Amino acid sequence: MKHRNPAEFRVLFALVLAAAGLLIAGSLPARTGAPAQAAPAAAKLTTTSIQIDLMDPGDLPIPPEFRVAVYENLVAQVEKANKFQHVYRSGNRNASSSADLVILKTTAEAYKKGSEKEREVTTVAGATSIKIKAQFTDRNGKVLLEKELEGKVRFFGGNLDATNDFAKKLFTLIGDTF
Amino acid sequence: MNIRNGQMKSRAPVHDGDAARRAHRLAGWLVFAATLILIFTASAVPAYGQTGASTPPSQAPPDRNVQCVLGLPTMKHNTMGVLTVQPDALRFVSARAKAEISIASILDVFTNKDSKQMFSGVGGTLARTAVPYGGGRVLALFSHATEVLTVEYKDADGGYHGAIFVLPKDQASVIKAQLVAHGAHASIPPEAPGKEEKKP
Repeated sequence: MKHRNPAEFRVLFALVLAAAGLLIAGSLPARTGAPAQAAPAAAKLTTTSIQIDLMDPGDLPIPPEFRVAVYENLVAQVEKANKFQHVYRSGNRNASSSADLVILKTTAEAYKKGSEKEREVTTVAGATSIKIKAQFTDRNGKVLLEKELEGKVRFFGGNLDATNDFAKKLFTLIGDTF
Repeated sequence: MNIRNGQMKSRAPVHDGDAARRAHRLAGWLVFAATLILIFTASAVPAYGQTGASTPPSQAPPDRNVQCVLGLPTMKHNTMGVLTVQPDALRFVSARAKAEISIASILDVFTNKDSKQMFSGVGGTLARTAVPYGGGRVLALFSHATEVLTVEYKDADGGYHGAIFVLPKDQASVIKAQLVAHGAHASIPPEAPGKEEKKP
Protein backbone atom coordinates (compact mmCIF):
# COMPACT_ATOMS: atom_id res chain seq x y z
CA MET A 1 0.00 0.00 0.00
CA LYS A 2 1.28 3.41 -1.01
CA HIS A 3 1.82 5.79 1.89
CA ARG A 4 1.16 9.49 1.31
CA ASN A 5 3.40 12.01 2.97
CA PRO A 6 2.00 14.87 5.14
CA ALA A 7 2.49 17.40 2.37
CA GLU A 8 0.21 15.45 0.04
CA PHE A 9 -2.40 15.21 2.80
CA ARG A 10 -2.26 18.94 3.31
CA VAL A 11 -2.85 19.59 -0.41
CA LEU A 12 -5.73 17.11 -0.52
CA PHE A 13 -7.28 18.64 2.60
CA ALA A 14 -7.03 22.12 1.11
CA LEU A 15 -8.67 20.92 -2.14
CA VAL A 16 -11.56 19.27 -0.26
CA LEU A 17 -12.02 22.38 1.86
CA ALA A 18 -12.06 24.60 -1.23
CA ALA A 19 -14.62 22.34 -2.95
CA ALA A 20 -16.85 22.38 0.11
CA GLY A 21 -16.57 26.15 0.31
CA LEU A 22 -17.51 26.49 -3.38
CA LEU A 23 -20.53 24.24 -2.89
CA ILE A 24 -21.74 26.24 0.10
CA ALA A 25 -21.14 29.55 -1.69
CA GLY A 26 -23.06 28.26 -4.73
CA SER A 27 -26.06 27.25 -2.69
CA LEU A 28 -26.29 30.48 -0.69
CA PRO A 29 -27.59 32.78 -3.46
CA ALA A 30 -30.19 30.16 -4.37
CA ARG A 31 -31.45 30.09 -0.78
CA THR A 32 -31.42 33.80 -0.15
CA GLY A 33 -32.73 34.51 -3.62
CA ALA A 34 -35.73 32.21 -3.30
CA PRO A 35 -37.98 34.52 -1.25
CA ALA A 36 -37.07 37.45 -3.46
CA GLN A 37 -38.09 35.57 -6.62
CA ALA A 38 -41.32 34.24 -5.09
CA ALA A 39 -44.51 36.07 -5.92
CA PRO A 40 -45.50 38.59 -3.28
CA ALA A 41 -47.87 36.99 -0.78
CA ALA A 42 -51.50 37.86 -1.40
CA ALA A 43 -53.08 40.13 1.16
CA LYS A 44 -54.85 38.10 3.81
CA LEU A 45 -58.62 38.28 4.04
CA THR A 46 -60.09 39.65 7.24
CA THR A 47 -63.49 38.87 8.66
CA THR A 48 -65.01 38.24 12.05
CA SER A 49 -67.58 35.65 11.05
CA ILE A 50 -67.95 32.76 8.66
CA GLN A 51 -70.92 30.65 7.66
CA ILE A 52 -70.35 27.10 6.49
CA ASP A 53 -72.87 25.91 3.95
CA LEU A 54 -73.77 22.28 3.32
CA MET A 55 -71.71 20.45 0.73
CA ASP A 56 -73.32 20.26 -2.69
CA PRO A 57 -72.91 16.61 -3.77
CA GLY A 58 -73.76 17.39 -7.41
CA ASP A 59 -74.64 14.25 -9.32
CA LEU A 60 -72.19 12.10 -7.40
CA PRO A 61 -73.54 9.13 -5.42
CA ILE A 62 -72.13 10.33 -2.11
CA PRO A 63 -73.66 8.49 0.86
CA PRO A 64 -75.40 10.68 3.47
CA GLU A 65 -72.93 9.73 6.21
CA PHE A 66 -70.12 10.94 3.99
CA ARG A 67 -71.82 14.31 3.40
CA VAL A 68 -72.43 14.71 7.11
CA ALA A 69 -68.86 13.71 7.98
CA VAL A 70 -67.49 16.27 5.50
CA TYR A 71 -69.64 18.97 7.06
CA GLU A 72 -68.96 18.17 10.70
CA ASN A 73 -65.21 17.79 10.18
CA LEU A 74 -65.21 21.06 8.25
CA VAL A 75 -66.95 22.92 11.08
CA ALA A 76 -64.57 21.37 13.62
CA GLN A 77 -61.47 22.43 11.65
CA VAL A 78 -62.77 25.97 10.99
CA GLU A 79 -63.46 26.38 14.72
CA LYS A 80 -60.04 24.93 15.52
CA ALA A 81 -58.36 27.45 13.19
CA ASN A 82 -59.47 30.16 15.66
CA LYS A 83 -59.51 32.86 12.98
CA PHE A 84 -63.13 33.92 13.37
CA GLN A 85 -65.15 35.26 16.28
CA HIS A 86 -68.28 33.49 15.05
CA VAL A 87 -68.58 30.25 13.10
CA TYR A 88 -72.15 29.84 11.92
CA ARG A 89 -73.61 26.60 10.72
CA SER A 90 -75.86 26.52 7.68
CA GLY A 91 -79.33 27.83 8.59
CA ASN A 92 -78.23 29.69 11.72
CA ARG A 93 -80.49 32.75 12.09
CA ASN A 94 -77.79 34.83 13.81
CA ALA A 95 -75.58 34.82 10.71
CA SER A 96 -77.74 37.50 9.05
CA SER A 97 -76.73 40.05 11.69
CA SER A 98 -73.05 39.82 10.78
CA ALA A 99 -71.87 42.66 8.54
CA ASP A 100 -68.67 41.10 7.19
CA LEU A 101 -69.90 37.53 6.80
CA VAL A 102 -67.84 35.21 4.63
CA ILE A 103 -69.58 32.10 3.34
CA LEU A 104 -67.72 28.83 2.76
CA LYS A 105 -69.33 26.77 0.01
CA THR A 106 -68.18 23.30 -0.90
CA THR A 107 -69.01 21.32 -4.03
CA ALA A 108 -68.05 17.70 -4.60
CA GLU A 109 -66.14 17.24 -7.85
CA ALA A 110 -65.14 13.59 -7.66
CA TYR A 111 -65.74 10.71 -5.30
CA LYS A 112 -64.34 7.19 -5.20
CA LYS A 113 -65.51 4.83 -2.54
CA GLY A 114 -62.74 2.44 -1.58
CA SER A 115 -62.75 -0.54 0.72
CA GLU A 116 -61.15 -0.78 4.14
CA LYS A 117 -60.74 -4.51 3.70
CA GLU A 118 -58.92 -4.09 0.38
CA ARG A 119 -56.63 -1.49 1.93
CA GLU A 120 -55.78 -3.70 4.87
CA VAL A 121 -55.15 -6.80 2.78
CA THR A 122 -53.35 -5.35 -0.23
CA THR A 123 -52.01 -2.02 1.12
CA VAL A 124 -52.01 -0.57 -2.41
CA ALA A 125 -55.65 -0.94 -3.48
CA GLY A 126 -58.95 0.24 -2.06
CA ALA A 127 -58.17 3.90 -1.44
CA THR A 128 -61.12 6.21 -0.79
CA SER A 129 -60.90 9.73 -2.17
CA ILE A 130 -63.08 12.78 -2.45
CA LYS A 131 -62.26 15.93 -4.41
CA ILE A 132 -64.06 19.06 -3.27
CA LYS A 133 -64.07 22.62 -4.57
CA ALA A 134 -64.00 25.07 -1.66
CA GLN A 135 -65.20 28.62 -2.31
CA PHE A 136 -65.08 31.56 0.05
CA THR A 137 -67.62 34.19 -1.00
CA ASP A 138 -68.95 37.36 0.49
CA ARG A 139 -72.60 37.97 1.30
CA ASN A 140 -73.32 39.03 -2.32
CA GLY A 141 -71.82 35.89 -3.78
CA LYS A 142 -68.55 37.46 -4.94
CA VAL A 143 -65.86 34.78 -4.90
CA LEU A 144 -62.97 35.79 -2.63
CA LEU A 145 -61.01 32.56 -2.92
CA GLU A 146 -61.51 29.25 -4.69
CA LYS A 147 -59.46 26.10 -4.28
CA GLU A 148 -59.81 22.42 -5.09
CA LEU A 149 -58.83 20.07 -2.28
CA GLU A 150 -58.68 16.29 -2.08
CA GLY A 151 -59.23 14.05 0.91
CA LYS A 152 -57.82 10.54 0.81
CA VAL A 153 -57.43 7.46 2.92
CA ARG A 154 -54.83 5.18 1.39
CA PHE A 155 -53.64 2.59 3.87
CA PHE A 156 -55.34 2.22 7.22
CA GLY A 157 -58.58 3.59 8.57
CA GLY A 158 -62.23 3.78 7.70
CA ASN A 159 -63.61 5.41 4.55
CA LEU A 160 -64.85 8.41 6.51
CA ASP A 161 -61.25 9.32 7.35
CA ALA A 162 -61.05 10.82 3.84
CA THR A 163 -63.40 13.58 5.01
CA ASN A 164 -61.11 14.33 7.93
CA ASP A 165 -58.14 14.51 5.57
CA PHE A 166 -60.00 17.04 3.41
CA ALA A 167 -60.97 19.12 6.46
CA LYS A 168 -57.36 19.21 7.65
CA LYS A 169 -56.26 20.55 4.26
CA LEU A 170 -58.92 23.22 4.52
CA PHE A 171 -57.60 24.09 7.97
CA THR A 172 -54.21 24.82 6.36
CA LEU A 173 -55.88 26.87 3.62
CA ILE A 174 -57.73 28.97 6.21
CA GLY A 175 -54.48 29.52 8.08
CA ASP A 176 -52.85 30.79 4.87
CA THR A 177 -55.82 32.90 3.76
CA PHE A 178 -57.16 34.61 6.91
CA MET B 1 -9.99 -38.00 18.50
CA ASN B 2 -9.21 -34.43 17.91
CA ILE B 3 -11.27 -34.43 14.76
CA ARG B 4 -14.14 -36.23 16.51
CA ASN B 5 -13.94 -33.81 19.38
CA GLY B 6 -13.97 -31.00 16.89
CA GLN B 7 -17.06 -32.47 15.21
CA MET B 8 -18.75 -32.91 18.54
CA LYS B 9 -17.99 -29.34 19.46
CA SER B 10 -19.19 -27.96 16.17
CA ARG B 11 -22.41 -30.05 16.11
CA ALA B 12 -23.69 -29.04 19.54
CA PRO B 13 -24.33 -25.36 18.66
CA VAL B 14 -26.05 -26.45 15.41
CA HIS B 15 -28.49 -28.53 17.47
CA ASP B 16 -29.11 -25.60 19.78
CA GLY B 17 -29.76 -23.32 16.82
CA ASP B 18 -32.20 -25.82 15.27
CA ALA B 19 -34.04 -26.22 18.54
CA ALA B 20 -34.27 -22.48 19.00
CA ARG B 21 -35.53 -22.07 15.43
CA ARG B 22 -38.10 -24.83 15.95
CA ALA B 23 -39.21 -23.31 19.24
CA HIS B 24 -39.51 -19.90 17.57
CA ARG B 25 -41.53 -21.38 14.71
CA LEU B 26 -43.73 -23.30 17.13
CA ALA B 27 -44.33 -20.14 19.17
CA GLY B 28 -45.27 -18.32 15.96
CA TRP B 29 -47.79 -20.97 15.02
CA LEU B 30 -49.17 -21.01 18.57
CA VAL B 31 -49.76 -17.25 18.42
CA PHE B 32 -51.39 -17.67 15.02
CA ALA B 33 -53.62 -20.50 16.27
CA ALA B 34 -54.56 -18.52 19.39
CA THR B 35 -55.49 -15.55 17.21
CA LEU B 36 -57.67 -17.76 14.99
CA ILE B 37 -59.43 -19.18 18.06
CA LEU B 38 -60.03 -15.63 19.29
CA ILE B 39 -61.50 -14.66 15.93
CA PHE B 40 -63.92 -17.56 15.88
CA THR B 41 -64.90 -16.95 19.49
CA ALA B 42 -65.51 -13.28 18.77
CA SER B 43 -67.53 -14.04 15.65
CA ALA B 44 -69.57 -16.66 17.53
CA VAL B 45 -70.74 -14.21 20.21
CA PRO B 46 -72.88 -12.04 17.91
CA ALA B 47 -74.26 -15.23 16.34
CA TYR B 48 -75.51 -16.39 19.75
CA GLY B 49 -76.89 -12.89 20.32
CA GLN B 50 -78.79 -13.09 17.05
CA THR B 51 -80.36 -16.47 17.81
CA GLY B 52 -81.32 -15.25 21.26
CA ALA B 53 -82.93 -12.16 19.80
CA SER B 54 -85.55 -14.04 17.83
CA THR B 55 -88.15 -11.70 19.34
CA PRO B 56 -89.16 -8.75 17.17
CA PRO B 57 -86.23 -6.31 16.85
CA SER B 58 -88.31 -3.43 18.15
CA GLN B 59 -88.60 -5.22 21.50
CA ALA B 60 -84.94 -6.14 21.64
CA PRO B 61 -82.99 -4.64 24.56
CA PRO B 62 -80.83 -1.61 23.66
CA ASP B 63 -77.47 -2.57 22.26
CA ARG B 64 -74.45 -1.26 24.10
CA ASN B 65 -72.26 -1.61 21.04
CA VAL B 66 -73.35 1.55 19.31
CA GLN B 67 -70.56 3.84 18.17
CA CYS B 68 -71.21 7.55 17.90
CA VAL B 69 -68.75 8.39 15.14
CA LEU B 70 -69.31 12.16 15.31
CA GLY B 71 -71.93 14.87 15.47
CA LEU B 72 -73.07 15.00 19.09
CA PRO B 73 -71.68 18.14 20.75
CA THR B 74 -71.06 16.57 24.16
CA MET B 75 -69.51 13.37 22.83
CA LYS B 76 -65.99 12.69 21.67
CA HIS B 77 -65.57 11.06 18.28
CA ASN B 78 -66.06 7.27 18.20
CA THR B 79 -67.62 7.02 21.65
CA MET B 80 -69.31 3.72 22.47
CA GLY B 81 -72.67 3.73 24.23
CA VAL B 82 -76.37 2.92 24.19
CA LEU B 83 -78.74 4.44 21.64
CA THR B 84 -82.44 4.48 22.47
CA VAL B 85 -85.52 6.18 21.12
CA GLN B 86 -87.53 8.06 23.73
CA PRO B 87 -91.03 9.48 23.05
CA ASP B 88 -89.56 12.91 22.36
CA ALA B 89 -85.86 12.35 21.67
CA LEU B 90 -83.11 10.12 20.38
CA ARG B 91 -80.87 9.44 23.36
CA PHE B 92 -77.24 8.34 23.36
CA VAL B 93 -75.69 7.46 26.70
CA SER B 94 -72.00 6.64 27.09
CA ALA B 95 -70.10 5.77 30.26
CA ARG B 96 -69.34 9.45 30.88
CA ALA B 97 -71.93 11.60 29.14
CA LYS B 98 -75.44 11.75 27.77
CA ALA B 99 -76.76 13.47 24.65
CA GLU B 100 -80.21 13.88 23.17
CA ILE B 101 -81.56 14.94 19.82
CA SER B 102 -85.11 16.19 20.02
CA ILE B 103 -87.34 14.35 17.55
CA ALA B 104 -88.94 17.65 16.53
CA SER B 105 -85.52 18.96 15.46
CA ILE B 106 -84.71 16.01 13.19
CA LEU B 107 -84.52 17.02 9.54
CA ASP B 108 -83.84 13.60 8.03
CA VAL B 109 -82.76 10.06 8.91
CA PHE B 110 -80.78 7.68 6.70
CA THR B 111 -79.52 4.15 7.09
CA ASN B 112 -76.76 2.50 5.13
CA LYS B 113 -75.12 -0.90 5.18
CA ASP B 114 -71.43 -1.14 5.91
CA SER B 115 -68.86 -3.49 7.32
CA LYS B 116 -66.30 -3.03 10.03
CA GLN B 117 -62.90 -4.65 10.38
CA MET B 118 -62.77 -6.98 13.35
CA PHE B 119 -59.18 -5.92 14.06
CA SER B 120 -59.11 -2.20 13.42
CA GLY B 121 -57.38 0.75 15.02
CA VAL B 122 -54.04 0.70 16.80
CA GLY B 123 -54.79 -2.58 18.59
CA GLY B 124 -55.75 -4.26 15.34
CA THR B 125 -52.62 -3.03 13.61
CA LEU B 126 -50.48 -4.37 16.46
CA ALA B 127 -52.31 -7.72 16.38
CA ARG B 128 -51.74 -7.99 12.63
CA THR B 129 -48.08 -7.13 13.03
CA ALA B 130 -47.64 -9.72 15.78
CA VAL B 131 -48.68 -12.62 13.56
CA PRO B 132 -45.56 -14.15 11.98
CA TYR B 133 -44.85 -14.79 8.31
CA GLY B 134 -47.13 -11.97 7.15
CA GLY B 135 -50.15 -13.86 8.44
CA GLY B 136 -51.52 -10.63 9.85
CA ARG B 137 -53.03 -9.81 6.49
CA VAL B 138 -55.32 -12.81 6.90
CA LEU B 139 -56.80 -11.07 9.95
CA ALA B 140 -57.81 -8.16 7.74
CA LEU B 141 -60.21 -10.52 5.93
CA PHE B 142 -62.36 -10.81 9.04
CA SER B 143 -65.04 -8.18 9.26
CA HIS B 144 -68.59 -8.02 10.48
CA ALA B 145 -71.62 -6.39 8.94
CA THR B 146 -72.75 -3.13 10.48
CA GLU B 147 -75.36 -0.53 9.72
CA VAL B 148 -74.81 3.22 9.71
CA LEU B 149 -77.49 5.57 11.01
CA THR B 150 -77.20 9.20 9.91
CA VAL B 151 -79.38 11.78 11.65
CA GLU B 152 -79.57 15.34 10.35
CA TYR B 153 -80.98 17.84 12.84
CA LYS B 154 -81.01 21.54 13.70
CA ASP B 155 -80.03 23.28 16.92
CA ALA B 156 -81.96 25.99 18.79
CA ASP B 157 -80.63 28.69 16.42
CA GLY B 158 -81.60 26.71 13.33
CA GLY B 159 -78.02 25.64 12.58
CA TYR B 160 -77.55 22.34 10.74
CA HIS B 161 -75.95 19.35 12.51
CA GLY B 162 -75.39 15.77 11.50
CA ALA B 163 -74.71 12.75 13.69
CA ILE B 164 -73.38 9.39 12.55
CA PHE B 165 -73.85 6.17 14.50
CA VAL B 166 -72.52 2.72 13.67
CA LEU B 167 -74.80 -0.05 14.92
CA PRO B 168 -74.81 -3.83 14.70
CA LYS B 169 -76.45 -5.29 11.60
CA ASP B 170 -80.16 -4.39 11.13
CA GLN B 171 -80.30 -2.23 14.27
CA ALA B 172 -80.25 1.12 12.44
CA SER B 173 -83.39 0.25 10.47
CA VAL B 174 -85.17 -0.49 13.77
CA ILE B 175 -84.10 2.84 15.29
CA LYS B 176 -85.15 4.67 12.12
CA ALA B 177 -88.56 3.00 12.15
CA GLN B 178 -89.02 3.96 15.81
CA LEU B 179 -88.01 7.57 15.12
CA VAL B 180 -90.44 7.84 12.21
CA ALA B 181 -93.18 6.29 14.36
CA HIS B 182 -92.56 9.04 16.91
CA GLY B 183 -92.90 11.73 14.27
CA ALA B 184 -89.37 12.24 12.92
CA HIS B 185 -89.09 13.31 9.30
CA ALA B 186 -87.43 10.91 6.85
CA SER B 187 -87.20 11.62 3.11
CA ILE B 188 -86.86 7.88 2.48
CA PRO B 189 -89.46 5.77 4.29
CA PRO B 190 -88.02 3.11 6.61
CA GLU B 191 -87.59 -0.37 5.15
CA ALA B 192 -87.88 -3.64 6.98
CA PRO B 193 -84.62 -4.56 8.74
CA GLY B 194 -82.13 -6.22 6.44
CA LYS B 195 -83.41 -4.57 3.27
CA GLU B 196 -81.32 -2.05 1.41
CA GLU B 197 -82.71 1.48 1.58
CA LYS B 198 -83.84 2.77 -1.79
CA LYS B 199 -82.09 5.99 -2.70
CA PRO B 200 -84.21 8.79 -4.21
